[in-house]
Amino acid sequence: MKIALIMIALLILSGCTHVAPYEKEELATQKMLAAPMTTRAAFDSHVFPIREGSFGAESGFSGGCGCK
Amino acid sequence: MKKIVVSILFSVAVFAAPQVGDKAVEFSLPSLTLKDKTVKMQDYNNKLILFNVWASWCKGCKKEMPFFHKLGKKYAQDNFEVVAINIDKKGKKAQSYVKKLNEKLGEIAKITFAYDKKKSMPEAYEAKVVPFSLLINNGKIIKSYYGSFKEDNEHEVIADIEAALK
Repeated sequence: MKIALIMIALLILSGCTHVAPYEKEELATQKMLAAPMTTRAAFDSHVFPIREGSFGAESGFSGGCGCK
Repeated sequence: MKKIVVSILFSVAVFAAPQVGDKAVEFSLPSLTLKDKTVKMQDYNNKLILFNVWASWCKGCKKEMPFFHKLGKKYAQDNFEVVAINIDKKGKKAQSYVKKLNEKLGEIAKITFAYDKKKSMPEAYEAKVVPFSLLINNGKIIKSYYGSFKEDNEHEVIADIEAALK
């Protein structure tokens, strides 16, 4: 059991690696952004409060139809 | 035990990255912009150079290029050169950036571009940040700069260059 746990821990830990600043080319690409598509992000931030009923959570809100 | 500790400390000291006052790391890299040309550190052993490591995916790196061009032009007669080492995975991206830079400047950038696909330079200097620059005089590091140059710290490197050229 102990050995199995150690093996699992080693497997998990081996997934972590240090990335040097000069190796961050992939991380610097557009697709790695939290919101990779700026047009889509604007649309999402418009629709999200309406869908969730969380009006005012992100920014100004002026109606319930989603049409602003 | 004592021997192990001493040998570890010795190996750390031997393999530590070059610092200010140390000899610059030797390199021989292909030119990024000129076919069949090699850029070598030994060619700069009797010169003052601003050695820079950059990437086309790094916004800060690209922002400081026009400033490097200005430096290259200003001190061209003073045995000074800007040597910019690109570390992109694909050299083509960097080449197209340099092309755009030349168009923006309206002339060929007064920068010597080399391509380090294996990232041997940032590895050798154990770069903690990109971009980073070193002022190297006659093969010896005299100053290091981390991060990109902005309007508020450009005067610093200008003063260092002028002091080194005296």
